[in-house]
Amino acid sequence: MRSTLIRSALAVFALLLAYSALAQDDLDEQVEAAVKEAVKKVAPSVVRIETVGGLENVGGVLFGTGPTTGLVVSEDGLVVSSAFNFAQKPSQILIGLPDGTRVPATLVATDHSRRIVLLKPNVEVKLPVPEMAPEAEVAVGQWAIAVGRTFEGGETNLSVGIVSAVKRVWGRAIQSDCKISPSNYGGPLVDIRGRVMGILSPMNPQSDDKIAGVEWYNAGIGFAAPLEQVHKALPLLKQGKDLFPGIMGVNLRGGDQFADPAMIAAVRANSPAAQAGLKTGDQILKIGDKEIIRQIQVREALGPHYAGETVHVIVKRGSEQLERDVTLIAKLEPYTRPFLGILPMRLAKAEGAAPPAPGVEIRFIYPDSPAEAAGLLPGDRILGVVDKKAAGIEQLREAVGALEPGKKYALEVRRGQQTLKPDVTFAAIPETVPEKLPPAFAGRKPFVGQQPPVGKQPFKLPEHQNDAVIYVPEGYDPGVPHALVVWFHEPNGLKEEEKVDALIAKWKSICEGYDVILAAPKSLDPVKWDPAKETAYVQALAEKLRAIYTIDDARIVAAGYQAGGAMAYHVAFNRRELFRGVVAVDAAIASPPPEAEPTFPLAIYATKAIQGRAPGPQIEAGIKRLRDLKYPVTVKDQGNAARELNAEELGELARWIDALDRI
Amino acid sequence: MTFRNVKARGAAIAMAVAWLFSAPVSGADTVADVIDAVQPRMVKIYGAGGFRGLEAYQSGFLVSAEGHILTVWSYVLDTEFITVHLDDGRKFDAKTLGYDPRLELAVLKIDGADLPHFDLAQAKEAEAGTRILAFSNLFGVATRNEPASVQHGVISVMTRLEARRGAYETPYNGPVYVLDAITNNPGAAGGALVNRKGELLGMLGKELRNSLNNTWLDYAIPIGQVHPTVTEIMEGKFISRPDEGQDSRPKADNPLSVKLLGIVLVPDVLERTPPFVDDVRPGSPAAAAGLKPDDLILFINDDRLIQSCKALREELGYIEREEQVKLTVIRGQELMEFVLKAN
Repeated sequence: MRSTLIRSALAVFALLLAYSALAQDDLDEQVEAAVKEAVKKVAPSVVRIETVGGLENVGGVLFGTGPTTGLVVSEDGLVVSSAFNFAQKPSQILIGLPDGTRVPATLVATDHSRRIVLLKPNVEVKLPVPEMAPEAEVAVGQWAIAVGRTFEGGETNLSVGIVSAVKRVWGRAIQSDCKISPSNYGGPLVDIRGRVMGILSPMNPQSDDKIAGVEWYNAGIGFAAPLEQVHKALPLLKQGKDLFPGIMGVNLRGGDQFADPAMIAAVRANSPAAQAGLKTGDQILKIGDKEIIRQIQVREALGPHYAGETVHVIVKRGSEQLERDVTLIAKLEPYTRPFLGILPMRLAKAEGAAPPAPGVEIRFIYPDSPAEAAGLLPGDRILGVVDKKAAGIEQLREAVGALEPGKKYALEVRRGQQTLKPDVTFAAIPETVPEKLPPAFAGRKPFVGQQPPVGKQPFKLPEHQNDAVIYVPEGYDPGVPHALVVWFHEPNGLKEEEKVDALIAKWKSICEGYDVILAAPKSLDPVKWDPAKETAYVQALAEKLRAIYTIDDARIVAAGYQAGGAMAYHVAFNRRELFRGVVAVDAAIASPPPEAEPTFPLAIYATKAIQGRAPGPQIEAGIKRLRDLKYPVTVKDQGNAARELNAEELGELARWIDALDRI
Repeated sequence: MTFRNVKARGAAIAMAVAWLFSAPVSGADTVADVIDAVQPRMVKIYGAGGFRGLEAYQSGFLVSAEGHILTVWSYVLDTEFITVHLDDGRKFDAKTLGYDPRLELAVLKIDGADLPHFDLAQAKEAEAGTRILAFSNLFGVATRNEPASVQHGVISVMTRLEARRGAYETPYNGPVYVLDAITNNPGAAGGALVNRKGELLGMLGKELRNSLNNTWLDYAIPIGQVHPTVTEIMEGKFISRPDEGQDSRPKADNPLSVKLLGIVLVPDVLERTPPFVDDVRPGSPAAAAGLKPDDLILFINDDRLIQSCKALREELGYIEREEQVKLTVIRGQELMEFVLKAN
């Protein structure tokens, strides 16, 4: 009896099980049919694009010879494709229609924000315009099909996945886990009904580089520019206007961009923000219809906008709210950091010391500088500039950074009991290094008390595999701000312990004499650095050292020899908030330098030579590029053959590091 | 009563019910059932290699009850000592019965009987969008009785690999299924591609890079392409043929050249200099046909797009000099065709 009961229960269970399997199978069959139908629906609008000529190598990536994919977007046969396919600037473009005929085409315009190009066939083409899926209807989790037309035979190729995210890359992209690669870049991402959601294109939210994102091909992460956005851009593209991401021209006060309010630290000269009358100290409350609570929301709000568009901005200035229309532009003039021509006296933090007097005491006046012309003297205290009070060095640097070279401003200076108001006209930062510098502290006393370890130390971060060695001066004083030099070794540079000791021997007198802590990380592969992976490690290393030792944020330097120098450039370019200087000995820049910004000062000390590990012309080109971006580059010409820095050059480098906190 | 029995009985009932209501019979084959049915036919193959970049393993599947195994022809088989692990964990020495480098296939033989296997004659064809399962021992993760790895996806497109046309470095010359699944990894070659009913479609191909766009190609060779050869090898009738790929596209005995046509190309200074006409010799076939300086030559005889001076010279090498040749050029923004014949 009991056994029969169990048996019949099992039979029912089995039936249910079979039924659900059946339903699942039915569903599978329906999905397969729907996918085929969706591709069939869009296929007549998907074209194949072939090109002749153009660059063979863009940004270090060797370009294949094609073919790529495009999508018809208008009745008159205009075609869009991914800008990636045209980064090599081909001399001739051919559009292959679904029936196999080929028509020559010209590139009408490029949308650098959505990474899309518009192509125009030179003869009349009648192809169906595909149905669009409105951006608002694209939901995470729904089916997505990536369609290309790149394989021999001319059929469409497809990849099935889902929509992984929407509003990616600052609101410019739909993300999908379809296999998105050069096999379908430029083709449509369609929904299960065959409606086009977007145009497949490589993107990377962290990079505006022309071919950024291709490193993620077939990696489960790919992007498509929403077709609805592309349609909005079409009228301008049709007129042959290239479109660029819109820039407002403000820098926000440093801090946690995901937590802190959007306080303007600097308004760039001649920028849309300056023209709209925004000022340093304003807090951005709203851009368009987006409330701004945290700094990152400024980037999110501006992300979808093109240069030339006008956004309505609400800011808080003191107790009032101001509303301004800001017309965005594509490119700012390079930022030139204004230079007053002083070194500040540093503040020693001693136990129980009185709070420092307001303002900044002058340690050193640069010869032929605006400060000298204004009659300033060592020992004067700068209390403010224009109407900004400067409580300390950082505030003065920020206030000066927001001004413009070549213009006249009033300083407020205390000399003894006197208050002076001299006018100064700021210059650009000099590239020469002062011959001799006075001490950075008045009446420094030897430190007595508890202090962290000094001398040569192995240094390991538990969460990272890399090793490092640091050297902390024997006379380390936690009350004194120290410079930090992160030294990147050349291939096999620190493989043996003798080489580590030789490096320290070289730097020891600099560390002791100029309050410098040296950190020498080791690459995991002794012969090469992996910029993509090891940059994060170096950042963690520097931040750990900042937490243990007293480090002067104005004098954190990335330095290196040969491949190490290239790594130093890379790390400093990608960790702007941390590094203030780059020392590159026999090394060229390996990645495009970022634009100079008021909030992140950066200076470069580079050697050049006719013969070296890095080709002379490449080093020269890099230096020119940095100077065009208005970075101060101190260049040491080593003549015929490149080599490591000699004692004299090291002495100069020590003064260069010591003077990085100049204003 | 074990759980497995319940499941079998359930399936039987379901089939009966399905039949009653005229639902598709295939409804009983869930993905799990299909995988259960395919796994016993998969084998893991171990042979030569083992140093960096050359893994000493690949995949294969049984194609007869007596132990014939279909796999890819590769360096792994280039040894006297080939070992095969069956799905049930049994280990066999295998010998290479025959191979066809042109199809990149090999047939191995182990001493067995009553082995579960695929019947190549029952293999099916599929179209783009068809859901597929790919079985292989990629990265060698499984050994002995561990089941092969299963990947799912769809067929992305049917295309042709054309040996000697530059895009792919393979002797194989024929149709392939391009897969929307990342199968192009060490050890996967020789694996089985099946549809969602478990019917055999193809054999996973060797690692191959598409030089046209620098991406890896995930692909399988349709069984229809290899079946006759496999049968011949199994029956001991296989004779290694001359490479048909080469035969189908022989170099000309007396090849044509740009010079014979009277065309002077722009100086070939780049790896891929576009084939612009620099000058046309007076009285030449090119002049007679009406070619002009600055014309960009795009096609010869409507074949594939010519992307460089080098490619143009190479293509002419396949054409006999007495043959008539059609050049498609772009002048300004117009495509124009010219028929030329060398004197």
